[in-house]
Amino acid sequence: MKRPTNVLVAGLAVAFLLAAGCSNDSDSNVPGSQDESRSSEPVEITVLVTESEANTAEFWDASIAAASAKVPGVTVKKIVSIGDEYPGQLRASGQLPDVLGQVNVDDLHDTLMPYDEAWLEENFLFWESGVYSDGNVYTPSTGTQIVPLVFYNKTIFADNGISVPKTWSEFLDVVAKLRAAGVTPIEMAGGEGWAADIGMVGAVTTDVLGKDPEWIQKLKAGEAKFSDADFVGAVQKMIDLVEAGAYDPAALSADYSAANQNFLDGKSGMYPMGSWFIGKGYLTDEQAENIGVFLWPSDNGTAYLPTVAGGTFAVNKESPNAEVAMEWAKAWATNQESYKPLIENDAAFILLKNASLADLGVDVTPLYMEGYELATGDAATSVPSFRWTGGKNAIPSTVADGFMGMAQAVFTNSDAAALCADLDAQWAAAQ
Amino acid sequence: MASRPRKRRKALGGLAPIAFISLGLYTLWVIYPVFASATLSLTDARTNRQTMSFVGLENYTRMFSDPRLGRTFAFTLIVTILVTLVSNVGGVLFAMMLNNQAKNYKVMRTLAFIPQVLSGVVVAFMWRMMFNQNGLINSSALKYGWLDAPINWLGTREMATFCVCVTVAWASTAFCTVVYMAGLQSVPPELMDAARVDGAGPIKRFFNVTWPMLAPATTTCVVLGLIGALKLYDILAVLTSGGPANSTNSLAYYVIAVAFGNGHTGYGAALGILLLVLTAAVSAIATRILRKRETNL
Repeated sequence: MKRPTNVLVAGLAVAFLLAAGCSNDSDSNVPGSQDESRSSEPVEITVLVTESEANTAEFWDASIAAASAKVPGVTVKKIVSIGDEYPGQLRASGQLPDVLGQVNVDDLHDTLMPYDEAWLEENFLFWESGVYSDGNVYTPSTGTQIVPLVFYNKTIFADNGISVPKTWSEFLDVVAKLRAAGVTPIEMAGGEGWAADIGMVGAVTTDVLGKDPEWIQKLKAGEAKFSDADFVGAVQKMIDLVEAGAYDPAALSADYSAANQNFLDGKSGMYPMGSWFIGKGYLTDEQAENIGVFLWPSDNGTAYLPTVAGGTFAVNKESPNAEVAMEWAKAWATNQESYKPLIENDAAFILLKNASLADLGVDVTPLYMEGYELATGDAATSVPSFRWTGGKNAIPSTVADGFMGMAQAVFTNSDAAALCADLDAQWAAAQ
Repeated sequence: MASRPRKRRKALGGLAPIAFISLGLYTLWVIYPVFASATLSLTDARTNRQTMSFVGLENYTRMFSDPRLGRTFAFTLIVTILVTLVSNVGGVLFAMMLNNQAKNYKVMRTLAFIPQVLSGVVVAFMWRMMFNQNGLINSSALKYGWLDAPINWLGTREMATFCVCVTVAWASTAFCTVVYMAGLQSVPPELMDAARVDGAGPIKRFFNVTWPMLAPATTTCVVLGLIGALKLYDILAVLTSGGPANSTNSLAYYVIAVAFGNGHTGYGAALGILLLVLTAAVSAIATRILRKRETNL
């Protein structure tokens, strides 16, 4: 009877010794020891990035190297994100990187270091749009995207005598004409939640935030609900589109690349998508020539610009190298060379104070310039793009997830009020 | 004679360090994480909060009022039952077809096992290419005029569930085929001959000789199939991303979404413990039932 007890005790001892070994190892990385060594030894910081068709590994490697060259003694270990949940997983396991690209500020704001306003003022236009509800800016507004723009096939519109719609009723007329012409009126990458909700983002941004840009703040303060009439009305518009046959019956089986291809092949007349679609990462110059762009139409024809003013990098304030990480993030954000591929491939509308498109020497299409004029001109009122925007108008991931699900649910559930009430319940659960 | 027990003691003594290390590693990598998860499940921990408080069983009682968990549970149950059933029936059929010693059958047996060795991500990606709006199935059927419009394979709850079951069953049928083939090798030819002499036809021989003799293989396939289906994550993440409208969330998928997507790590840990208990209970019950069948051989 003694032997099993001995084995158990010895086993536990081994486990504790191993655990103690692990603890000792991590103890050597205490902040003080890192800070003291900074002056004499190189510091390695970890940077989380998201790679995509437009923001390739090569782009990140080059721009990281350029920024690192401006901060002596810093080396960067690049970490590539594997999904929206990844920063949360890294944080939960105590491995949150020093610098974080494209994170949900609402989820992580309490662990982020604010940028100083003087530096933001000196370098960026409209940086105030990135102010979070606690008054801080956690990601500098280095650029803006418009989500959505509505792209259309010029040939199909011309062949069917269709002109660009400005009001919701005109938009419905276009849908009817395209359908009568045997063309799928609206393309949709419904198989992917983030892309499935782009049209609904347009409707909510225009009809809810267009009327009241502070609506999300009111939602956070408990003074507004998803079941408010305007929000339900916007969701009802999506249901109306489904019932009008605006989408391919198999739209929810289309992924992003299939939807892009359908639109570029002329199988559909319109495609609500983010402004990145203008970039050369998605379109050839030849394809861009046949594509026009307009804003999501409102009931009375008022033009609203659903903007996502967002930056790239946030800094983890709990990092032992937080100050160096901030210095590096600022170096990246002010390095003009970093933006050229972002503008050309991802169609970012850059908000640098000290550099114009000409200064950057970028090669863009006339379609990009059309979008750029919309984004930076006075023709439309800028409002935060619902679900996509950061800063104080960011919403929790759980609600964003529910919203994306709702955009797919309207294909089988035509009760807008019930869908919105369900989103209210998810909002309550997220608090 | 006196040296034998001493030799045995010496041999056991030589193995002791390995046993200690194994036990230590097991404690470190299995017992401790489970214990840590159970502890976390009693807190209100969130990824966007620095502090956490003890909330007792609140996360467990919350499950009863979580409507999404109900749908998730139902989906998991449907997939588990269907996949286990289809992969076992398919496995037996393929095993009987491939139970031949000829050389070309060896090649076919190898081919039959390939789906099992592929990563779930690869399997799901492959099937997604087929179920996509412009995927292989729709485009072929449209090209040859079998369809007027593409089928919305992944666009409704029912169709997406069907597609998930097909994909998972395709991969797990390969495993069952190999296990049942091994089982068929252990059926004594004398028994089959005796049955033939007694005038039993192929169907009678299958139900009275082959199927009972496959009892150990059935236990393996059913229990591992149940565990695999209950823990399903990778195939869903690639094939449907849990959609449409979150209708194809398995329990494991929901755990990840809650704990890391929503940042509710306390509640996520409680769901993880639920999944652990459920998997252990289902496996134990299935093993108990199927072992009884084995002992009746």
